[in-house]
Amino acid sequence: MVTIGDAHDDLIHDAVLDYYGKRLATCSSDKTIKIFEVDGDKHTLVETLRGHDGPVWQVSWAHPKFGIILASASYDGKVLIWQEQNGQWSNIAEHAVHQSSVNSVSWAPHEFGAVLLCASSDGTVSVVDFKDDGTTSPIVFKAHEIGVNAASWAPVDTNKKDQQVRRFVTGGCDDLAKIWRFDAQANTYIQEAILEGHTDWVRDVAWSPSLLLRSYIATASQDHSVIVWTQKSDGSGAWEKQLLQAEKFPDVVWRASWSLSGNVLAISGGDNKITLWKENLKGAWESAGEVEQ
Amino acid sequence: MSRSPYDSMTFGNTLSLRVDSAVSAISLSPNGRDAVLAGRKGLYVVDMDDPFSAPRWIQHATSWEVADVQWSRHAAKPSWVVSTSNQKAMVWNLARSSSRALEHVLHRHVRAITDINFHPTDPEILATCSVDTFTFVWDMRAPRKPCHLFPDWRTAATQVKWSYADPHVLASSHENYFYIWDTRKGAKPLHTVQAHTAKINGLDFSKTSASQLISCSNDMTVKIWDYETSIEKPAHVIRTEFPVARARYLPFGDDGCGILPLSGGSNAVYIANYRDSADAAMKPTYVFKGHSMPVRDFLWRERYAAYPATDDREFQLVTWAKDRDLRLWKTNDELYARTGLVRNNTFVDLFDENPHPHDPKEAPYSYDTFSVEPSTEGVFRNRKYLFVSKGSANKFSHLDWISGVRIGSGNAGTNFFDHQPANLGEEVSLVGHKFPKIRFEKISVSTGRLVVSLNGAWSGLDEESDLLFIRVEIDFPPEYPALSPRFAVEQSHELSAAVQHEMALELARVADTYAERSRFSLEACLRCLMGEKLNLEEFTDDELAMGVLEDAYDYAASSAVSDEEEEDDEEELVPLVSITARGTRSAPTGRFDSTPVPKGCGAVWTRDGGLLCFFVSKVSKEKNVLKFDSQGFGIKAKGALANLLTDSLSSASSASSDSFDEDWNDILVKDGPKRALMPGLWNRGLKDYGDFRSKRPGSLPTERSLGTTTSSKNTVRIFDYSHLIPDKIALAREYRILGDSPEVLARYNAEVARAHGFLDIADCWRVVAVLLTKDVDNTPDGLLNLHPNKAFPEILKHAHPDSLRFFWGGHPFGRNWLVREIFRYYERLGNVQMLAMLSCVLYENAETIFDPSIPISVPFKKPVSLLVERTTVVAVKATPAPRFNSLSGSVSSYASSVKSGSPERFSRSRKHISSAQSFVDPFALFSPIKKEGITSVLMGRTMSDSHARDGHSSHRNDSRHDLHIPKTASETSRWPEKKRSVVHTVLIQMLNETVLDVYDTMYISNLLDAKYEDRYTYYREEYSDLLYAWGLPSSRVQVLKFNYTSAMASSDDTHKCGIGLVAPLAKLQDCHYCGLRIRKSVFVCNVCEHVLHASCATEWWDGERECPSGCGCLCLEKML
Repeated sequence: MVTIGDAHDDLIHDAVLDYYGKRLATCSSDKTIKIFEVDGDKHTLVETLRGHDGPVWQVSWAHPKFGIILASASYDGKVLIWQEQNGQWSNIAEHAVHQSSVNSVSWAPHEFGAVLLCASSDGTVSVVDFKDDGTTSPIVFKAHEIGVNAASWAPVDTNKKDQQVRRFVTGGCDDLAKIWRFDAQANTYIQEAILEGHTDWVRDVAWSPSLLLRSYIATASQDHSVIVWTQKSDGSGAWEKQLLQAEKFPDVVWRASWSLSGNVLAISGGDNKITLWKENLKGAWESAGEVEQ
Repeated sequence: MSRSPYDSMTFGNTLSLRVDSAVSAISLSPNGRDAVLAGRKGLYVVDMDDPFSAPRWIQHATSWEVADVQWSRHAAKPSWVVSTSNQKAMVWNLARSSSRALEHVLHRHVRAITDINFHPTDPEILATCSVDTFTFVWDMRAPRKPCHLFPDWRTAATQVKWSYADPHVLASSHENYFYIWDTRKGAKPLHTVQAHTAKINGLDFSKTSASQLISCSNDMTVKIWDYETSIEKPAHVIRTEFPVARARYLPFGDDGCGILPLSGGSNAVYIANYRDSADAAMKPTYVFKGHSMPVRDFLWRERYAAYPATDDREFQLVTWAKDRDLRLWKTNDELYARTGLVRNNTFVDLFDENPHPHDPKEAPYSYDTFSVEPSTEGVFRNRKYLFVSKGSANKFSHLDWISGVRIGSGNAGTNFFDHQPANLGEEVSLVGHKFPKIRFEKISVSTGRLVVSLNGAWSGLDEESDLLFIRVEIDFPPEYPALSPRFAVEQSHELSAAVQHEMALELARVADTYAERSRFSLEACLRCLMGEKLNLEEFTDDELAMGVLEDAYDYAASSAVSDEEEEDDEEELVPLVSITARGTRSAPTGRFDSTPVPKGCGAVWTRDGGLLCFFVSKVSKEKNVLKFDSQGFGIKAKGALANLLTDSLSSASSASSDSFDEDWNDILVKDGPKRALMPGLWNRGLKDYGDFRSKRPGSLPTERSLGTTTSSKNTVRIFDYSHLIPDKIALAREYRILGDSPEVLARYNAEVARAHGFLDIADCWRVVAVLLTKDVDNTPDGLLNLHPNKAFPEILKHAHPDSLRFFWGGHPFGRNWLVREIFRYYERLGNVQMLAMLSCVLYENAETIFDPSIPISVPFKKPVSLLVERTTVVAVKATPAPRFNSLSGSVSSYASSVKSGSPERFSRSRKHISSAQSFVDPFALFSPIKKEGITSVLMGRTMSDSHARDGHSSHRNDSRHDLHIPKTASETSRWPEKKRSVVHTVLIQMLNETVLDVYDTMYISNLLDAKYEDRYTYYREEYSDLLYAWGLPSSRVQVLKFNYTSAMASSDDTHKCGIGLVAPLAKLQDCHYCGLRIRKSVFVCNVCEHVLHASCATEWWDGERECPSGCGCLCLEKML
């Protein structure tokens, strides 16, 4: 078990392993991002990335086919793209279209190319396509009043290679989660569905990476609840909601994360605890354990 | 000093007080004279009647936002104030000196307290509610533990309020519902009211109606309930256009309520009549608008006379907003009229026959202020206090305070640009900021007395002394500036009587000159004191004013700068908002900043089933705690801080301030005894620390040295939770899906699963193995006797007409039921690994369905077209026979993996090929692969497969009705007639189709339903991604083979032959024969590394021996 204590001088807001599980990126209120090499139980700090003027909320590794690339989102309203080449990290791009804190950043499924999704407290979402020729074409649009707290890409259905549509879900301060679909003609994203059910800010949205039976979206909210939304594969496209547990969580829920094939949902919240959830054969969600530091 | 509320100069007047501190809660004293403002640095007690006097400051440095402060409203306890400090409630007695004002600490909650409410009738009782979901009722006579507790268990309590009518009843709100509790009924609520669709922010009981209360919520509604009537439906609903932070009954009038927006709503306070607004949009009867940021709280200041004959109550609205302005609002009769308060009506006094004659200017309650330190303490105490307060005088700038006071004008700041300060207070603040060297030892604007000390250039008679220390007491008459102030210069040994006299004369002259013009003269007088010679005769009115005007600009600029700094510091230290203040923080721009509370803890799954977690660490147990007790600050070692701190953290209080807090504690521990001597640290501590931090981001050794070595702030940890994930890496490493008959593979995989302890999966594999048993002994006694343990080579021996291939067809154990159920089960489990493995092992290649020599699940396509093509195009230089021999030899050496090939078969095909005379060895083109064992084996097997399949293609063609495979004439004619006999045998079986249903429809009934082919493809795709992430690329390729089967491949499959031949990209650019870019099949010389298109190669080598590049290499010969 790898344990890294006191990596940062302040609260850590995100930690992500890269595709191969060899590099760990952490980000913190101390405005830095740290890169660790992880090998078995050992870890070494390889780099501290400085460049943000505010707390760094989230980091995201790009698919390795684009190189060793990391995107980071910060309170200072900027998204910075970092690249490692020959062991040297450098900031290769800056994406600063947001007026307010950028709360979430995530790379699209690699099939779409190097596409970055950012959600900001200024109420907008931006999708940046880093094209091969080095140009970018950000699409910025208003997604939620007050602010957008999280965004998550839908997985690519490899079966329908010809009609792959970029879709993602966003969660915001208007207590809603919304699903967006790319409209190639208008070159923007149109709202496909509204997931209404929370009574407070939606803090995190997570689209299950697996499409085994149906699509799952987990939304975590400040109202102390987590809702799992399932889309029936019957083609109607309707989303059904199901509370992860009928009882409220003891504290606000901050984050939801699906395991790689969507089997286990990890929920973390304000009480510094992490709970794991599994769907049983009857389709009900059961606790699968609790992690305490 | 006003002694009666009717002497108050601020009541009924507009007043703006800027309090530059992180104040988050406010409450008023029962007599309406004092306001207590509670913040992170402590409590400020402000005398609203004498706004220029410095507020009393009770230090209580806390890193947590103060959620609520309440002044006892009882005449019996007029000095009690309760404030929150995270999970503790501090009861302050303002009648004591500030250093020992803390009377009780109510500490039973385990999470942050969100609201406090005094009992309306019993002065000793109060209620608190907390994020820990509990509502406690405390009795001050026994403050160690609560006397009642009301749990909700589920969600945090946001508000608690006592009923005015029933002393036993109180209400607490949680999320979107609230409870009505009765202290006599214990933890069972009287009522549970599902009031709103979003979080409730405020509750308030009606003062007139027993069971009525008002609730407001983020769902933009205010609801008035009568719980005796209905708990389902509110009596009235007011819809607003903003989330409502507070809604309270007005203390006057009928049916009025004050509504405070949480955000939006033009930062105003609205007065509305809920009967008017019932079930409709709010129709405010009055709006108090003027703050530049959302209002935090609003309160009513009240005054009334003793024994009045009429209702002479008067009210004044007091608001505290995020713009750090404490405002008193002018109340006019219009408001009273609109809210239905009829003033000055004669009371019909039923009980008092003989009304007292009274003085209407007398209030029936004491009108003392608590904003000054009590002086009744013992001498010892008093001295101690003075010592402390000397420090505090330094840190609290009275001048700054005074400059924040605006009387009579709602717009702060405009006065700076008037030519004249509006009053003495403003003048003092302007002058004070202009001359930072001058010390204002005492400022009392209300009495008009200043004590100033400075160093003046009054060398006087003594020539060597350059600067003199001068202390002057200045008395301003109430008529100032029309009358000149009086100066009294203090005597000292440095100051001779002569100089003193000269000074007094000069001052009087200056002051009088200004007083004649009714100008404020303080600045001129001070300049004079400092030794400047003022030429008063030349002064015009304009110039007199100019001096002040310059100040105004200077000060405005400097204050702006300092404000910015302040803001920056706030940003630095408080990028976070506590739960109670969620969403109400504003960015420096004044725009609503909706940045959510940062996550301090989280978990992200890694690709291999690990759970990457990050936490806020629990701090080390041995920790020194700064603790309050009745003796003031004390420093005590305490072990239980860990819980306390983590709780405070998890309630989303500021993280950075937490880390500060730790270090802060350490500073205090080290410097505890000298604490009072470090006023600068106290005052600037937060700021300095912030600057320090912002200048040097990242890890700071200096910063660390302040902190203890044992403190840890966060942890990142990777837990192994792969046991929860059904996809197992261990299995993936050993599973096999190719290279044997599916039955054997299934058995093998079952063993793998069993060896790793996954018995359920092993069972499944065994069932699958039975399903997959294809070869049945055709002898009468062994017809239905399956041979589970038969090894593949034996099967080969049975590959004669007597041997039968067994298919489930439409049997429920086939795809119609069992297979489908297995898939459904693993889909439910989300076991991609099993799904993908099964969809590989159960795969049946339609083209090899009848060839027992080839595992039925092998998905490869026979390279027919390639063979045929080459036959027509390529001519062979070398003799093919030895090559084939060497190839078959290599195949047999890999017999374990390539069981389908047999030397016998190869020699047969070779014989056949040589008889055909036109066949060309396709390997001639790809000889380099011979060096790479694996690749050549694969190729070899493909080769033999294709031959074997060829051998049976005619057979298949005859017996199969639905599947049509196009064949070339050359192919059919190539095979000897001998093969035909096999066909006859099968045809006979076909005749008995109806009897032997085992064989019926076996072609359309693959074990995998073709209908769901895309789903199987998806499983394999998913699983291959997993395998790649797990570092098993070769397993991934094997799985993916099933996704790119012959059925899917395009007619041009030459690229399959190209696998393994990819040279470095740089070399792969242009064909050295035609000069065009090479994309697919390629010929590479392994000596000179020159490349050619495969087609070009055949053309070139047709006649040439040397490399087309001209390098002189004899590629073909070198290759072999």
